[in-house]
Amino acid sequence: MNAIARSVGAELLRVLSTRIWWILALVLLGYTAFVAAFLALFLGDLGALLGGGTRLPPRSIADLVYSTATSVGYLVPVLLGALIVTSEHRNRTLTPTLLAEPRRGVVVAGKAIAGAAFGALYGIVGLLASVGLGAAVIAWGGGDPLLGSGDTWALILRAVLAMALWGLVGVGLGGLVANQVVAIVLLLVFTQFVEPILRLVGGIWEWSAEVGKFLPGAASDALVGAGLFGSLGALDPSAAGMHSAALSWWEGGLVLAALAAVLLVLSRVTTWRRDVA
Amino acid sequence: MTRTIEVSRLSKRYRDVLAVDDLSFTVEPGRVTGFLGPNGAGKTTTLRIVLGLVGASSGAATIGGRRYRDLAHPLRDVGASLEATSFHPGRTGRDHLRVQAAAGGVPRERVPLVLEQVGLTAAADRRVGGYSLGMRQRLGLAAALLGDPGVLVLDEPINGLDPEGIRWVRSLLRALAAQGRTVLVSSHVLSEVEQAVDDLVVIDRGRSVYQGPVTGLAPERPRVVVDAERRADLAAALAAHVVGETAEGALLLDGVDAAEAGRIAFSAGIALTHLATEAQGLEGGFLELIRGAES
Repeated sequence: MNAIARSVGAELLRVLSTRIWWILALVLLGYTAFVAAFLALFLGDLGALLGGGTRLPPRSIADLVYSTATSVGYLVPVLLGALIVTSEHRNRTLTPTLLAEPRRGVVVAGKAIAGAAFGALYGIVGLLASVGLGAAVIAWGGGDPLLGSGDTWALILRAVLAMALWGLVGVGLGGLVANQVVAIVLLLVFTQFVEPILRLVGGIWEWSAEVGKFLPGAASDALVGAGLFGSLGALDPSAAGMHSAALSWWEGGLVLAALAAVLLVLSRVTTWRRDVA
Repeated sequence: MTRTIEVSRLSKRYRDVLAVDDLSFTVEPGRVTGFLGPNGAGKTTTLRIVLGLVGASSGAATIGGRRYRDLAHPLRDVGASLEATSFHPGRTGRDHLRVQAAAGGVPRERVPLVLEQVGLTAAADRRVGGYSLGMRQRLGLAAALLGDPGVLVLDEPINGLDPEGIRWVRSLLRALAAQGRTVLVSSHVLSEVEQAVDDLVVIDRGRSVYQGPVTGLAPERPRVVVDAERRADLAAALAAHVVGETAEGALLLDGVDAAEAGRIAFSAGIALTHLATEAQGLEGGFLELIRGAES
C-alpha cells in the first residue's frame, strides 16, 4: 500500500513537471466553454428567436449544457492517461522509472490512479467552463440555470466520476498500445469518427440501438445522465424517427469501469511484461 | 546488505541471437570494476538484466544476494546510469531527480546535494532538452548517486564527456570505491577507464574472455622497436628476435630488451637510428584479446 502511494506521488509529479497537462486543461476549458455557451444561447431565447427547434424544458437545457464537460471534453482525460504511459516509451524514460520501482504492477497501479486523479481534475476544469459559463448564459437568456437543484449537482458529481474513469481507460489504452503516435491516432479516429458513426447508424434499427448503448461514449453519456448525442432527437426534429436506447447511470459507469479494467489487465500481461531495452 | 554483484551462468537469447552466453562474474566492493567489450558484445544487455529491466533466458544476477526487483528500496541500494537519453526533454534536470526521489523513497534533500556533486546546479532548472551530452551524463550520474547507494552500475559514463569531464568521472569512480562502494563501469574503450579501474571483466559476443586485475591484461613482454640505416644488416644480426616490422619499416623485436638489442647491434658494427621499448599499453592487450576471440 505504501509502495503504491509512493508510486502515485511520483506519477503525479511526473505529469506536473511537464507542460502537457495544463495545455490540455486550457484546451478543455476553452473548447467546453465555447460549446456550452453556444448551446445555452441556441437552446434559450436566441434559438426561439431564430424559430429553430422546439423549446426544451429547463431541466433538459441545463443537463445538455452542463454535460458538455464530458460529452465534448472526455477526449482530454483519455489522451492524458494514454500519454502518461506512451511518453515513457517515446522518451525512453521507462528505464529510470523501473529502476526506482522495479515492480511493474506497482508502477501500473500508480499510473492508473494518477490518470484517474487527472481525469477528475479535468472533470472539474470542464465543469467550470460548462456550468460556470453555461449557467451564466442560460440566466442571461432568461432561463433557469437550476443551480439550486440536487439533480444538477448529482450530474456534476457523475461527470467528475466519468472523467476519472476516462483517465483510467487512457492509461490502459496507452499501456496496451505503447507507441505514442499510434495511441493518439487510434484515439482520435475512434472517438471522432468510428464511434459517432456507429452511434448514428446504431439508431436506425432497434436492435442496433440496443448494442450501441454499450459503446464507451454512449456509456459515458449514460453515466453522466445527458450528452449531445443522446439528445439529437430532441434537438433535431428530423432525427425523431431514430431509435434510442440508454443504460442507466450506474450501468454506464460499470461499462466504462469494465473497459478500463480490461485494458489495464491486458496491458499489464502484454506490453508491461516486455524487456525494457 | 553485502554489496557484491554476482552474475552466474547468465544467458540471454533474442530469437536466434545469443546476446549473453553463459556469463559469470563477481564484482567486489571497494574496487572499481571495468566491464569491457566491443560495441554489441552484450554489456548493456547484461547490465539491464542485473537491474531487472530485461529478463534472463537462464542463469541469475543478484546484488547482495537478491534480485534487483526484490530490493525493498532499490535506489538506496543500487545507483544506475544506463543511457544519456533516458530523460523527458521537457522536464528540468532538478524535476527529473525530484521524480526519481519520490518514486524511490529517497529524501528530497538529496536532490540539491547530488546536483552540486556533479556540477549541475547552475543548469538544474533548465529543460533537459537543451542539455549537451556531457550534461546528460552528469544528470545520469546525479540520478545514480541520488539514493547514496553502496553499489553503482554505470553504462558508458564517459561517452560524450570532454577531457576535463573524463578526468572528473575517473576521480569520482576512484573516490566512490575508496568509500567502500561497489563500482561497475562499462566501456568499449579500455583507455577511457584504464586509469580508474582495478579489475576487469572483458566480454566479447556475450562470453567472458578475461577476468582479473587490469594489470594482467598488459602484454607479458614489451616489444622493442629498432632501426638503422643498414636495416637489412640489422635484421640479419637480430634475426633470432625479429617478429615483424612497424609501419615505417623499423624492426619489431620480441624476447630481447632494449639494452641487449643495442649490444647486439654494436657488436655487429651497426649504428642505430632508433631504439625504443614499444609503449603498447593495455589497449594493445585488450585488442589482442578481442581479436583472439574473433579468430
